[in-house]
Amino acid sequence: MHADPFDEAEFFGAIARSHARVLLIGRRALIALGLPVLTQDYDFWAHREDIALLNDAVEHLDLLPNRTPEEALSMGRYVLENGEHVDVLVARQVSTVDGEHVRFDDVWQRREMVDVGSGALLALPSIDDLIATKRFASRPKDAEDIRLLRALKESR
Amino acid sequence: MTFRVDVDPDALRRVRALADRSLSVEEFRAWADGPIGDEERRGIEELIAWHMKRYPTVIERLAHARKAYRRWARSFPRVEPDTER
Repeated sequence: MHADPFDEAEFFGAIARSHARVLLIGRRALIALGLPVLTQDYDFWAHREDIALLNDAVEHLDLLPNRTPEEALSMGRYVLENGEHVDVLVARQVSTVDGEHVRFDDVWQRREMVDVGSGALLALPSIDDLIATKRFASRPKDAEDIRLLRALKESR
Repeated sequence: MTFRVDVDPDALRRVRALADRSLSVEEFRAWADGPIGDEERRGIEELIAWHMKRYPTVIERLAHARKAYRRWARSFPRVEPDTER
């Protein structure tokens, strides 16, 4: 047996209770929407002013930031880690491979909330915005994920 | 039950580098934005339907994905990315 020491439900619940402006992006967002894909990491996009709120929320799970909030703001991203690997994007906006700018505030405005148990709500980008975040990089898996998201959108 | 796959670490590193490579904008657009045929669409819809039926809540889907990844990762040798490439 390989017991999983990480309490994922508590992880998402703690983020929801913190009221930090945080969006689940990346493949785990695809999974939440119903697409069965594999991924190792957690990817979030957080509001620049809510880094401390997010860090405090997950501290009891031994998830520690690899950078100070000031360093994270300067780099535009940081990692929460301790066995788990949580990538946190904190840029105001990110450019896609097409040269379009995707702003956190716009994506946050259009967010969709999903229940992650015990009434805790987690924010996801809209499908169109999730597709836009998948254009931040240009790896084959990002292109493939966009096709999955397009099919999901059309099936709704 | 987990089966451990005997994979040459160098081969795995090369496959990973291939999967993580950056496509040109043209390649990326052609792949991501190209038409989705009926068969592909049907396959994706069937996968979604199975996933949603088997794991009806968000937290169940996330928990299953976590378990599936751990099971998958255990079946492969651990190979760090080759930073020299």
